[in-house]
Amino acid sequence: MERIKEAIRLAKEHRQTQALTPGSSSPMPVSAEQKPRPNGRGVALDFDLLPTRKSHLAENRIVVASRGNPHIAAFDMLRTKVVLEMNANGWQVALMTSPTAGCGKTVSIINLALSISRQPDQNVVLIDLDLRKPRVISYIGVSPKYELQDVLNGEVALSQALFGVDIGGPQLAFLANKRPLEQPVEALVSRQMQDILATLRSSMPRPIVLIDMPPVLMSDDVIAFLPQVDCCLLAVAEGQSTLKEIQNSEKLLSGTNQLGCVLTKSTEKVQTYY
Amino acid sequence: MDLVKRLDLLYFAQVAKRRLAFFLVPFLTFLVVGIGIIMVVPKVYNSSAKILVESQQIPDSFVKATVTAMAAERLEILKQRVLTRENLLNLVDKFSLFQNRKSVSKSEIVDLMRDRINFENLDIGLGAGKKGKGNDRLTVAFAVGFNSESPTMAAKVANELVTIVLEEDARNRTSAASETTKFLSREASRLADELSKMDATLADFKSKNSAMLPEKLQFSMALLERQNREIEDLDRTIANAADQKRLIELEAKIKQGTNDPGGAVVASGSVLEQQLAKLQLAYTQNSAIYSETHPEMRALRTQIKTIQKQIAEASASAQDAKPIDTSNPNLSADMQLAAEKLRTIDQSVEEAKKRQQDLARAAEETKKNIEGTAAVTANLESLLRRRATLQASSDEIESKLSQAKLGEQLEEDQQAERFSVIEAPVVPTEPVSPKRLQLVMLAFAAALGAGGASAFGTEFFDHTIRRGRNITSGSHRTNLLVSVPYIKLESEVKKRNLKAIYMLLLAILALAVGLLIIHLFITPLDLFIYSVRSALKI
Repeated sequence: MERIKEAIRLAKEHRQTQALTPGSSSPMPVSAEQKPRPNGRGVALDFDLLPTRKSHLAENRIVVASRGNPHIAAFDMLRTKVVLEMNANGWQVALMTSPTAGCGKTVSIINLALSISRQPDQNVVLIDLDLRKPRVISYIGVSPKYELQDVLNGEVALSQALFGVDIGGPQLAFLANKRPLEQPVEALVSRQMQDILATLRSSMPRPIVLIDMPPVLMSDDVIAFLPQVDCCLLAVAEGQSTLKEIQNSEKLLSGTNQLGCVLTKSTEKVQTYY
Repeated sequence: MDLVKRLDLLYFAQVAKRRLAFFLVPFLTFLVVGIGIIMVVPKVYNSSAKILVESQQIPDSFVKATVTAMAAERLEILKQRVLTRENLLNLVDKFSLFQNRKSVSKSEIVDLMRDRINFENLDIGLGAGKKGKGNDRLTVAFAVGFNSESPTMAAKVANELVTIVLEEDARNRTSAASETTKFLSREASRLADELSKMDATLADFKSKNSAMLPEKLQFSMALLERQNREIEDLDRTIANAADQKRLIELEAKIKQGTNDPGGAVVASGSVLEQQLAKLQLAYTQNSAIYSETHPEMRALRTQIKTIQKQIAEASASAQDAKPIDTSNPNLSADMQLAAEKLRTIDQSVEEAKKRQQDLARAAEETKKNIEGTAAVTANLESLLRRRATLQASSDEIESKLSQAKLGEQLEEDQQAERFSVIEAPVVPTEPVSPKRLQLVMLAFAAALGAGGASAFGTEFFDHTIRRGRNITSGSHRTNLLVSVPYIKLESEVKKRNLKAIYMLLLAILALAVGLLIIHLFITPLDLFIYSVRSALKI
């Protein structure tokens, strides 16, 4: 409860700061508005923290948000492996896809992002690029003022579209669409998209950029976007994905570095230490 | 290793849990449908009678039964006779069976009846382990029964069947026995006919060859001897007559003129002739005994020559002598008397000669008869032999006939092997089929099989990933970062519990409805429970 109160307080504080600087609409506003945090963790992207409901998160399997959940261990393990691997290779942008729909990649990536953001001095930006079926916003249950589409249209600055959530804290930023998009591939390969990624890559301190994408076997979105990322994760679901699908997916993803697979919906009993 | 094994076991437990629905759905479907069908199948009751084949009561050595075919063979024949189309259709009419199957043809009804009637031989082994298996089994009893949906009908028809079987057997046996008798009496009369014919032939033959019969041989021989003797006698008579005649002529001549030498000459001539004849006879007789050069023979020859010479001299002198002229009226009375005597002698000689000729013919006849006797005897013997054979077979047939008549009497009095009903058909209380417990067990096994096949089939054809090992080992390896367990939501758990409750309620409802249906349409539940209990006891 204390944490929530703390978050709400922080959110209110941010809204006040935002209100103090209303006219900042330069092309690269984020880097311009970087400023040192008072707790000494370094410069973070500046965005609002939106309030979330715990029950809503739990309903959508965002388990990392609730303390003591036994599933957190799995995501922490994933987080450690991913961060280590990416840092070791100097990779910054990772996309998450799956062979087919319903493999739990959105749930996994939100949990992963939350888990990463809990590491000290590690910023994370989660972009929902499943443009045909954006679901990140509905999963975390917030209603940001602006969305990704607005940035792509050049209507608002990136910093305005970025938003945080109270349970994620200031180290975790989201960039997502509320509504589905008709022509996603064009948006994915657009200049604006490249600009967004460039901005995020160059912001300090270096954030890890996680991108949620549609299933690789269902559309050409992933293949089109693949050159812009450093590495990829594949979510496969037990009792749903077949070995053949995984093989095909990995073939399609061979253009980039592969971090590995996340097996979701596992019913296998895992020996736990705790 | 232990851990891996435990994990494997856990994995299989997981598989079982995952495929439970795939197992349960076909399993329950098969089970319910199977049991439903078993319950709906009509009950069939069987009522049957046990009939004992009793062996002959009177010992075999006293009276032999005419019907000696093996009981099993006779049973088979009996079965064929009982299960004729006519009998079966009569049964159908009598008990108005198959009323609900009007459209079925008669042949089909006959087939149905044959299916429902059961004949069963109850054998016992004789001399077990001694010989082969089939031959030394003895049928001592058999069962006749009938299957029907109605227990009372089953009993009724079975009763009727028993009656038919008994009647048919009795008729069979008596008819077989009287057949035998008929055959034997026919044969006997035929033989008697032949015998009388043979007797006639024999009599005919005897009458035809009466003179040549062997028993007449003695008589014929005696006859021939007598005849020969008589002929010899006559010879002698004739010779005497000739002597007498010469004597009379000599007397006459003497009386005519004593100088007439002719008479003596004639007389001596005739004596000489007689001597000659005697000598000749002796010679002939001796020639059979002695050779030509024997002194006896030579003496005889010399005597014969001498006498012949004397005869020739005598006849030469007799040429001069005049015969007595009887016709001469001038003859004296003596002469006439002599002539008369001569005539009488001539007459008697004539008669004797005639008689001799007759006798010779008769002797010839007798000789022939004697010669023919051998052939006749042979023929007669063969005829007699044939008759004896006929007589023997006729006797045999007669004795057999009397035995057969006795056997027939035995059959008519039911003293020979007979059938006796030791268990009359009763109204059955328990159906013989369907064997519900077995069928239910069968349905259960089938359901188990179907469920297993379904579960294994789905597992087999499911190529989805089931555990981390699927992608970290094997043909395609990939870097598995982490396995995230399925994140169960409370709402999901609640929903599932709710669903389970609904299903339970539904199952209870279905059970209730099922029981109600069974109670109303198939069998009242108390009876059903009773039958289940009794089935379980078995």
